[in-house]
Amino acid sequence: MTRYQVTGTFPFRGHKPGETFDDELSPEQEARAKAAGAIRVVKRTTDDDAQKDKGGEDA
Amino acid sequence: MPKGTALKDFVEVDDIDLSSMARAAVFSSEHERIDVSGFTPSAFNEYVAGTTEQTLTITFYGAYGTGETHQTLWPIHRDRSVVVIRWRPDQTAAVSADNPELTANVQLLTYGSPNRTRGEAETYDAVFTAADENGFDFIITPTP
Repeated sequence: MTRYQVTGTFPFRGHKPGETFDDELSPEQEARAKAAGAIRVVKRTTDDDAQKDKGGEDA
Repeated sequence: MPKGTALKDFVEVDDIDLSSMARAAVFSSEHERIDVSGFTPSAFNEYVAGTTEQTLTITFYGAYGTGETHQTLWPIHRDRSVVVIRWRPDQTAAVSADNPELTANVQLLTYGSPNRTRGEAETYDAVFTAADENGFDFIITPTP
């Protein structure tokens, strides 16, 4: 599970800009949404993701 | 159900709500018509349905800022990604039989931005084509 924040201009999965939400996006969708500036990763909570994110969450 | 004006449509691409950046939605679902006519006294043609072609064309406003239409849609087209699209007539109401939601896994096979003319609002068509055997369908119960 990952905590995301909506950083874009438009709602994401029904969450308004600025809101945070917990979800499990596919790596591909997460990459697309981050590249588009729609979301950022606030915190990863699974072991695998924590390992993946050892370098730190998104700024 | 009263006659309606298209004002509150909901358009979501890859989970990003682009409703306020869309101004038109046109769905097309067409079964190929296969002529299986034989010799008959009436001479009427006889057809059966063949393969099905489905597209949803959304007219978007051109916008190039962070998280706006170009940054959202161009990578989906460029990378040939399969994403979910959703449209329904009224974004202020839940999905229901009176507010059915058209949804599918799609590819954005035709992308038309930039499409600019001096002094005019930039709009362009994005044509979403069904990307799997399920095709487009209208759902009448909200997805969890």
